[in-house]
Amino acid sequence: MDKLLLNVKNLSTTFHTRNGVVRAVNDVSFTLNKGETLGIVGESGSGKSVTCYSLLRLLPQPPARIESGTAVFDQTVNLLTCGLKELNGIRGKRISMIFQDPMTSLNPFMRVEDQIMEPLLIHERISRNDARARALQAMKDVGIQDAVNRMKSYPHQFSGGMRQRVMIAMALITNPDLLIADEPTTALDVTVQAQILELIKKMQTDRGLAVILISHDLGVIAGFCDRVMVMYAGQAVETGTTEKIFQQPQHPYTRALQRSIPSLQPKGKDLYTIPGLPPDLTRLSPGCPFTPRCESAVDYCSKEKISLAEVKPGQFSACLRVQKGEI
Amino acid sequence: MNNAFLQVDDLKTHFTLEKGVIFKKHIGTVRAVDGVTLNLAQGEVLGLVGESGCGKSTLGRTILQLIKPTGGKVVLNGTDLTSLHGADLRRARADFQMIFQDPYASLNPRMTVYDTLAEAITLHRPGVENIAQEVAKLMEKVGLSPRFQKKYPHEFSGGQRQRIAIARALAVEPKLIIADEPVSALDVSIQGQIINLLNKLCREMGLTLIFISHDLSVVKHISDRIAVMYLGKIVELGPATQVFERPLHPYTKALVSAVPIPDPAREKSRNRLLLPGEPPSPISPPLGCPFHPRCPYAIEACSSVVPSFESVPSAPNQSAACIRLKEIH
Repeated sequence: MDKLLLNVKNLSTTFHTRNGVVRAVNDVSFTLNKGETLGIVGESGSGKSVTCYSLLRLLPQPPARIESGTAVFDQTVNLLTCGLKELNGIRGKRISMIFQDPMTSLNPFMRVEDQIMEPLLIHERISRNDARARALQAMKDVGIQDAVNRMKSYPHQFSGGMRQRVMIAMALITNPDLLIADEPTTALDVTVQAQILELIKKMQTDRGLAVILISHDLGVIAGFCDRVMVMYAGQAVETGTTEKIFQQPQHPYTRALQRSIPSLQPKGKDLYTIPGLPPDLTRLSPGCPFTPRCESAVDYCSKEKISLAEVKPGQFSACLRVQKGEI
Repeated sequence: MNNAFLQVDDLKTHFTLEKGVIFKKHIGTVRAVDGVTLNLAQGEVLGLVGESGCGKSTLGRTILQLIKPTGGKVVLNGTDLTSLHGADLRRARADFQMIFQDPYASLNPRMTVYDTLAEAITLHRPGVENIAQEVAKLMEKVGLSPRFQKKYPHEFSGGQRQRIAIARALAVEPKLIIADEPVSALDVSIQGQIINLLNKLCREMGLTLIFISHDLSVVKHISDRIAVMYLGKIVELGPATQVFERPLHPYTKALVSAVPIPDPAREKSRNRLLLPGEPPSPISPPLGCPFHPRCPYAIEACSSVVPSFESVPSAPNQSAACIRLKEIH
C-alpha cells in the first residue's frame, strides 16, 4: 500500500453556536491514492466543504471543533494533530486548495505575479528573479495569453475564468501531491467550466497529482473522477468507483439525487424531486438522516446507527436495508 | 404575427460609459441589448439562455421597463410599454411581474410574508376586500402553508423563499412573468420543485413566462421555445427540444456540448466542442457576426457580413443567425 496518499478515519467536526451544536461532519472516513481523483458530492450543507477545510485546519476554532478522527497524509503526518509549523510546511506546498469564488480568494491589492510567487518564496529557498520566472512559466502552463504583461495586472482586471486560472497556477506552482478543489467551476459559465475542468485534468496527467473535487453537480463529477463519495447531512452515505455509483447506486439518496437531475428526465412530465428538506444538523436523530425523505424507509431506519459497509465489490453503502439485502 | 401577445421589436439597450466628474467625457458604449426582435403568444413559455454578460437579464429588465430602452418597442397586449410614464406605467405594471435570482436579496427582511403579499394586493387590486383570505389563497397556490404568514424571510429555506417571491409576483394577477435565473441559487433537488411549480402555474393560469437561465437542461424542461443570446443579440430561436437536440448555430452547439452529462460512460467518450477564449467585450463587439472570433466554422466573410436569421429545410420553425448555416448543415 505504498500508493496511499491520504487516509482519513472517523473525522467529526462540530460547530458550537448559540442555537446548539451543529454536527457538520459526522464520522467520515475515506482514502485517496497517489494520482487518484476523488469526487465529493452532496447538497449544500451536507458537509463536503467542511470535511476538506477540517483536513487543512482552515476552520476558525472556536466555533468549529474537530471532535475526533485522524487524517494521515503520506503515511507519516497526522494533519489533525501535528504541530502548526509542520502543518504550514504542508499547506500550500504539498497540499494546495482552490476555492469556488476566485475573486474573493485572490488579494485585490496584490499584483497577480506576486500572488503566484508567494508560495515559492515561503516554501522554497529561491531568489525573487527565479521565482518570477517560475511564475511566468506557471501562467503560461495554465493557458494565460500574453503572460509577460498580464503578470503585472491586478485580479480585478481578469475575467472569472482567467482568475480561476490564476488560482490554479498559484496552487500548482509548488508541485503539490494533492489538490483540493472546492466547487472550482460553480461560479463560471458552462463553456468556461469545460475549459477549466480540461485544464485541471491536463495538469493532473502531466504531474501525477491527486485531486479531491468537491461539487454539487453530478455531471461534473461523472466526467472527472475515478471514485465518488456521496455525502448527506454530514455523513458519507455511499462510496465507490464513478461507473458503479452512476450505474448501480446502492443508496436510496444517491438514486434520488440522480433521478432529480433535469437533463436525464423526459420533457413534458413533472420533474422528479426528493420530497421534504435536509435535516436540521443541530437535532439529528440517532438513525439514518435520510429516513424522513426516503422511499424505502422502514421502522428500524430511524433507530439504528448507520455506517458504511461493502455491499458490492469496491462499493460501500450506509443504507441499512441495502446492507441486509432487502433492497 | 402582428396579433402576438408580447411583441419586442428591434429593442436596444445601450449604457454609455463616461469619464470625469464635472466635464463628462463619453468614452464608450456598452451594447448590452442590441436589436432584439421577439414575438410571444399568450400562455407561451420562452427560455432565454446565454452566458453571463450576454445581456439576457438586461433584456428581461428592459422588456419590463425597469431599464429604459435606447431604441425599439415593447408591445404587450396592444399597449406600447415604452411610451408609458409615471402613473400610467405604474398602473400597467400589474400586468407584468418579475421573479429575481436571489430570494435572499429580493425579499424585504423586515416584512412578514403577509405584509409582502398584502402590499402588492392593496396597491394593485383595490377591489379585493378580504385581503387575509387572498393572502392565504396565494400561499396555498405556491405550496406554502398559510400558517407561516406571520414569519419573516430569514425563517425560510432558499426554496421556500423563492416560493414567496413567486407568490408576490402572482399577487397582482399578472399576465406576463419574467423569471431571471429563479433556480440558480438552489440545490438540484429543490430546483425541480420550483420548476414544477412554475410549470403548473403557467398551465393553470395561462401565464406567459420568459424564463432566463444559463442552464440549458433546466430551460429545456420548462420552455416551449428557446432563444439563445450572445453579446446582446439573439443567435438562435426555435422549439425547445429541437434547439437542444439539433442546434443550428455553432454557438448553440458549443453551449450544448459544454453541459456535463451525469453519465460517466457517455461523458468520457463524447467529443467536446471546446470553445477557445471568452466572450468579447460588449463595448467593442467584433464586426460582422459577434461570434466569429471563437467560431470553429468561421470564414473571412464572417467578420464583415452581419448575419440574418435563416432556417434549413429540415427544421423550418427553427432559425439561426449564421451565414454558413446551409453549408454546415
